[in-house]
Amino acid sequence: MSGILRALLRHRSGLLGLVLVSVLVAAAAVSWVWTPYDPTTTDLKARWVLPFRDGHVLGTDMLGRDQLSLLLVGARETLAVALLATAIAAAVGLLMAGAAALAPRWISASVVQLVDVVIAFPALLTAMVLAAVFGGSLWTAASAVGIASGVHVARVTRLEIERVRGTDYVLAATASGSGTWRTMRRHVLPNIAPTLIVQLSLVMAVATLTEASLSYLGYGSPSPAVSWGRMLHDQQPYIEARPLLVVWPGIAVALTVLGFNLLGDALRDATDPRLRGSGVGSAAPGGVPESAAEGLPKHGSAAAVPVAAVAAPASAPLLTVTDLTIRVGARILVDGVSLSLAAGERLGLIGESGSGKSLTSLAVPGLLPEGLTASGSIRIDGVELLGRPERQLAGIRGERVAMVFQEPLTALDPLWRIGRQIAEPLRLHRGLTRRQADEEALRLARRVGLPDPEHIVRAWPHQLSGGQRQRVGIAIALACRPALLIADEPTTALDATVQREILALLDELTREQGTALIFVTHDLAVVASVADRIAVMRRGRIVEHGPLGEVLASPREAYTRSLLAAARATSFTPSPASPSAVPPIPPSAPSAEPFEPSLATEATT
Amino acid sequence: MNETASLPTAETATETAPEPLLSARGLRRTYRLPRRRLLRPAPVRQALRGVDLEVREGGSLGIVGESGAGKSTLIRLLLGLDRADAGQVLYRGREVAGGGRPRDLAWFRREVQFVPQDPLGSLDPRMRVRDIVAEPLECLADASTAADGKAGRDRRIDEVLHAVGLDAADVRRRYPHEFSGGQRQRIAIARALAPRPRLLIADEPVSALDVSVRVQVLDLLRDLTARLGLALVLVSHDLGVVQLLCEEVLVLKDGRVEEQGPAEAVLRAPRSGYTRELLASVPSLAADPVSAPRYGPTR
Repeated sequence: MSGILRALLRHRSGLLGLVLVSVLVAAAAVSWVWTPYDPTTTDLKARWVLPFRDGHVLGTDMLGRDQLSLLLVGARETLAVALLATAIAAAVGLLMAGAAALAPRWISASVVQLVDVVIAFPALLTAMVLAAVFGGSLWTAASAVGIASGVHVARVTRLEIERVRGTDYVLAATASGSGTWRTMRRHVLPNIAPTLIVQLSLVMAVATLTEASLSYLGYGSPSPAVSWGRMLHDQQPYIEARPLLVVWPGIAVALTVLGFNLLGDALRDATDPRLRGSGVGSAAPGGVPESAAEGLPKHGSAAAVPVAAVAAPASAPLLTVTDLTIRVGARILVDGVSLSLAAGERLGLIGESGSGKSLTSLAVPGLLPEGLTASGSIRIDGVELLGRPERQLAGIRGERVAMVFQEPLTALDPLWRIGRQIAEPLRLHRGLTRRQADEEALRLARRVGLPDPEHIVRAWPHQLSGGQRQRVGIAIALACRPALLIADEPTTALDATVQREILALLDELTREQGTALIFVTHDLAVVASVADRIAVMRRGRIVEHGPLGEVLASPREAYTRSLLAAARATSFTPSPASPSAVPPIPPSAPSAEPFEPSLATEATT
Repeated sequence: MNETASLPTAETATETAPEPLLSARGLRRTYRLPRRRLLRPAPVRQALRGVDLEVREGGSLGIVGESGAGKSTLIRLLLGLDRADAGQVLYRGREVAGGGRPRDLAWFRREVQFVPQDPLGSLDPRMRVRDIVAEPLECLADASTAADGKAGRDRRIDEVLHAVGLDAADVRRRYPHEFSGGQRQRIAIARALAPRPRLLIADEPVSALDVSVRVQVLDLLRDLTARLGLALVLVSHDLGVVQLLCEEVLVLKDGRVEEQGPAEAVLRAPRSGYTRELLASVPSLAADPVSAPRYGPTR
């Protein structure tokens, strides 16, 4: 609890929200024991007193009532309506959502239908009808807003419950023997809490607004009651002569709504341990994998990549990357990487997660995610790409450099037919007519081995299997015969038998078209079957770089050696002489240098 | 290793009846797909079409198959998380009725625990490590363990965290996001070990991990199952992992058992054509890279 409060106080807008809501609560509380004047006493001799005159801080209205006192007392009504409406909304929302998620099918189906119908009723209108029938009061406003918002809350909450119930940790809890109610209490509720908090803070804001609107329209609590909406209502006829008097309740309503919203958002963040920092109070996380790059020095030393120069091929290079450094803020993710690639050459870029291999490959066609900045130099055919405007990069992409991505489904537009996706780069870069492009697309579909190409060009991406989608991805990438193909883990999401076919296809097509290849992967065995040369990356740097056979047979770096040992230890060996021929896994880390630094130094972090 | 002294040792496992620990007979499961036409019956997908398997006390079975082979469905049925349309899952001869009330399966869950695939997704982000590992202890407490109370439970949590190579005092109060992938999988394994199970069912336990961490986690699993005499069912698409950890292999294809037998026999001299194709597809990293096979043209 104290952790949540501390996180709330660190949150700037959360602090503002907390202050605003505290002021509201304090105003309501103070008004019970003290107000500058009696808010309901009229004093016709002191009408329209301006602010800061005769002890009226905010002045008086047409009946001589003190505005500050009215505002203070009005806070009670606002707070009461907001709290009551939120309580009703929470009760209605949780009950309906629970019923929709847990009850037998026919109950849950009818609840969902009911929610859809009720959601169509405007809350304000409902409140006005209720007020007309039962007389305006705090209760009519609160229950109208509460029920109407409750249905909205139910809808969102049900979806959240379903989402959380589909997670692996709920599955794991069930496998641990956790019952339905226990899972709801221990896993589902805490994980839907953030959404619920935001929803309920919105209800508070809506309730505040609705109360003000109702009172303004004359459907609010009857006469002796004081509320901000009623103040607006009373002063409306004089708005031209005394505009200031409308401003005070207006500001009060606006600040209250703002306060509820800010507090709700901040509470959502503060209750999330992932955003709150460490549970034991220290702000430094123990072993977040992405933190691997944090320990890097600010300036990449050239000594870190001594092998880069060695590997430069004799002929004029197609691609030259020099001292590429990628930063996000002050953090260096890729640290002074230098590479060069001759036409038709095939480079395997190897590394574990967080090594910077994907960022390096994305930087070449200028596809780095927003917020990341690259420095150094990337040249294709001797032309500098870094710092070029997006328009020119778009021309180079697809025509000179193409990419194949890991997840072929997300890389294809779900709303475009396959044939059109293949034809698009042809029309864009080679200026073919629609018909020519379609014919070429069909030819490419046949070339990449798609079954029944005449039909498949008319199909949608979701109708294809993973392997077929990756074939489409390759067809798109190679459509314009690029000089360089960058494949980022293109077979990681595929089954072994399909992986083999895709690797063979990539191999065959790039050879046939003389395309240079950068193959990015974590899998040494895969890279061994497509690359001529490999570069091993670790923590944003290239640690080893050389011809494939050389690196695999006699790696220079300890890291490469242990990576190879680990890969060999876990990779399948087709026909072992005997089971004991499987190399025994060394008891701890495969080398003196641990890969998971936080694991070895656990006690100290 | 005195911190693991109270874990059951391999000795207890040997004095058992010859009956299999876990067995499945004729498992079938069909899923209904979304209706295409209003008046036609909804199409169905047969995820499992009659699967039989057996795991002995202390034995290890690797289930291999590609996506869509029915591996996930089989795991759900073996764990009693879902009900089979036909066939039975038996544990020590007693039927495991899946899909029913969780309490009815408490006896089964005390003996059979689960190590899921994605070590981040399978740990509740809002729970501390202590509470995550305590979960099966709380849920599965019976008369014998209830007497231990909170102190006994805390002791057990520390024990299993030590057993998976984590510093209990340091990690107990942390949240899952503070750990690396390998450490998270260690936590998931600790959770599975907590109720002193006799069988672990692991679903692709290392496929989400980096290769160097993979070795460590596999090493840990192999070490623990050997030391504690645990039986292991390991589902994986990675033949290397299966080769390393399993004595028996079952190859699943389209919901049927394609081939089944001792790992050495199946992986060295597969009888089925599909298994041969599967074995040939694995890119290998031969010690001598020059002789490593390169893929020729597909057709």
